[in-house]
Amino acid sequence: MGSKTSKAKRSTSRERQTRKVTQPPPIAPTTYSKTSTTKCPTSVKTRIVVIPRIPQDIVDEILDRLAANSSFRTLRACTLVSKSWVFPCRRHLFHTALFTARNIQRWFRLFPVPEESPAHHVRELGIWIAGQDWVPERFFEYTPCFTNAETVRLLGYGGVPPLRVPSLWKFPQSVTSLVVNSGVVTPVQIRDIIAQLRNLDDLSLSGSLIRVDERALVGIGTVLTGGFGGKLLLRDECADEGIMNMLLEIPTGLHFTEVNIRCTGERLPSSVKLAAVCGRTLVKLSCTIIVHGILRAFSQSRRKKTH
Amino acid sequence: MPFPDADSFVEAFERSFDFSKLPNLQEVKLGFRAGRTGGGLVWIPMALSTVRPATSLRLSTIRLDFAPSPLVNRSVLSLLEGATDDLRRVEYEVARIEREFEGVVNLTVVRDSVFKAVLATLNVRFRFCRVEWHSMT
Repeated sequence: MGSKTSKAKRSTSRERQTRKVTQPPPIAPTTYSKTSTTKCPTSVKTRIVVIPRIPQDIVDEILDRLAANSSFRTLRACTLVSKSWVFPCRRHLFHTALFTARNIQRWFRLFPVPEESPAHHVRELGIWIAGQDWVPERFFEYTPCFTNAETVRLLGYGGVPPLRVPSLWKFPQSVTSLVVNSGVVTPVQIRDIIAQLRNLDDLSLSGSLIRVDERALVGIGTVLTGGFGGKLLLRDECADEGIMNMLLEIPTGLHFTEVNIRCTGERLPSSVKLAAVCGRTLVKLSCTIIVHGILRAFSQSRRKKTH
Repeated sequence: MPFPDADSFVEAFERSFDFSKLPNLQEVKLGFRAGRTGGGLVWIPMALSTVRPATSLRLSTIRLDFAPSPLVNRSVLSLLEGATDDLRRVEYEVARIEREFEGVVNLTVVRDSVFKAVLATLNVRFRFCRVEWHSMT
């Protein structure tokens, strides 16, 4: 009985082997297990183990989920698994990049040829533009290589670096969102940056501004051609009269769907006017006012009127 | 930036803060943060008074955020107590919006301990809307 059953087992295992060879490998990942090979009897000397190739879409999906829930180190380890894993892993590893004076030298050393660098994976490009760590001006010759960047963040507080000429900076045309959070820019510099971004939808300005001569702000927004159909965020000193006028002068008009303003009371009217200019397109308005003395005067004046 | 005089401020404010000019508005958040120098919150009932079912057809959410005032001291308390009329007008407008929109608008008032104390003193209650509590951290 025992020999019969063992023969039967052998025959079934051989059948399985032949089936494996003749039939195309199934796609389902459940068949991709090492246990099926270990169960085979040792007497079978010529075994053909077909490891089914997992479709790249599924690999990408797995790595996307992994990237959402795991650390940088895990993803970096995944790049060593296979060639087909490198590209999707790099897409996540280089999704967000913040360049400062310290790490930029390393980037140039690692990727001396810009076209061969992973710059095209970067979706959020952060650049430190102030203080001791500000990136050198020549970096902006390199920025067009970030061909798929969607968001540009200009960050930094501290001393004003010399020779900042944003009109000469080059940004990729794929950028649809600009975030400026800095204490070293002027409205004119912000204008020069926005003027290069022709597909701009979202605009977020916060931090403090350097005051400039008001005459320099006349006609400031007339060269801006972005779509301005996304989100607008103005905070702190950037809810400024100069910035407001710049945006209100845009010839194509404002089509923001979401406006978020946080400012002090005295800046409120022009801020809200800006929101009102969006008119029909505006869907979501968030307005936070830091109240100072002016609203008390306003309140008193109103009471006088009503009396 | 120089402070405008109160009259020009009132004029500019009334001209610009009008929700009836924003017909597709779905969500509104009005926040209030107290500074050291005091002030009022008259702009909130003013803004709310322009919310009408006829002009704000798609409005679904209004959130009034009186929550984190970091300066819990006498000046803030006196500021809020000085704004009795404004708070009563906010209460009135909230009740009106709730009534006119027949509950379609989700109204939330977020407040902190300072505001809770002041509202209790003034016997102001937001009867019909949801009230969220934010503890001071």
